[in-house]
Amino acid sequence: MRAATTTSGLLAGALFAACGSTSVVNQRDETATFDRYQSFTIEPGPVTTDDAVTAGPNQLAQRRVDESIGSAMAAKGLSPAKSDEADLIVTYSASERDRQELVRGRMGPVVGTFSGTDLWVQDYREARLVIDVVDPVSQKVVWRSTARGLNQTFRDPEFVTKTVAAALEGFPRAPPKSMRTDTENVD
Amino acid sequence: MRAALAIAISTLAGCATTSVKTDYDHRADFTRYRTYAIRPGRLAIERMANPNDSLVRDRIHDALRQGLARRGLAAEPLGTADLIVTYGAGAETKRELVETLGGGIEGNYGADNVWSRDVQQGTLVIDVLESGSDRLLWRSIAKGENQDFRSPEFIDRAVDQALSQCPANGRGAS
Repeated sequence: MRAATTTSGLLAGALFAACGSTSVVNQRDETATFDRYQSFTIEPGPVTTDDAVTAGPNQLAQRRVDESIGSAMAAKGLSPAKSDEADLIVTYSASERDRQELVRGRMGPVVGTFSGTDLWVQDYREARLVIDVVDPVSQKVVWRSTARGLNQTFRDPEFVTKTVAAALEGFPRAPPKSMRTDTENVD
Repeated sequence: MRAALAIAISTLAGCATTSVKTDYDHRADFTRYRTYAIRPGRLAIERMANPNDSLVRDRIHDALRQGLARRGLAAEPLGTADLIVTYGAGAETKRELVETLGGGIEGNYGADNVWSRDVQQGTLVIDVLESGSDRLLWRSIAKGENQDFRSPEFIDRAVDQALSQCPANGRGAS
């Protein structure tokens, strides 16, 4: 996001840095038959940071993401199942790091005159979450959500819950149980 | 004027700073943990493992023992303690962009000088896990800029600031 090119450019930049915002982009395999998926399992993924060193896996963030995914998938009518029985595998990768962006703006009227173009540095923290939903039979990703949060962190349970919910909001609902086919009884 | 401003901002930019962030399991009952054991952690320089730095390792262990004792937790051997305390410590050089405010013409001021600088960043991560399950209960990440992460001063300050935010204090209800 580029700051506005007026005297309020600096203020806008400061607001951008201070406020958290999240964007989500979804992709879907249009050839997948979503109404045959009834269950899921979660495979925890890595949560990495740009720290110089870490003591071990970030289990705190992983648990939050796992729980949020479980809630979101249940809200879609899908049931949790064992890894070798589930229709879908939901996995993810997450990262958090410092970013810098050069912003160019033009100072607006001050004391009645304009100066030349101005360049400043925008510092922010980026939290990124990619959720993949995989069909274990075809080994294909049938759904991918990419969420990017500015000045957000996986240490914030509310950010994790809202982001996962937004990422999976468009995922197709499982068909009602009354409409599901009992394949075990087919001759 | 421009040179003076640039020098002032560069000086401020080069000052040593330490920041600490923490995270914890909001559902854990920290009142039932009374003892701890330290498990040696990871040491790295520029993201390369540095396992033989016993000086830094001992400094971290000493700072942890003192800090945990102040919080009322007692040391016990691995295997019998309620909590395992481990860590990761390292330093790396980061290149970052810095801006300065330039002088103006007829009273206008704007940021028009941007350059890059190398910053030494030291990191100390402390993990507190539940013994037996190895379930992560609490994590702190202390970062120091323009500081020698191997120095006793940085280690003591980082550990002290981090543990001051740890919910486990060994004085829970019996």
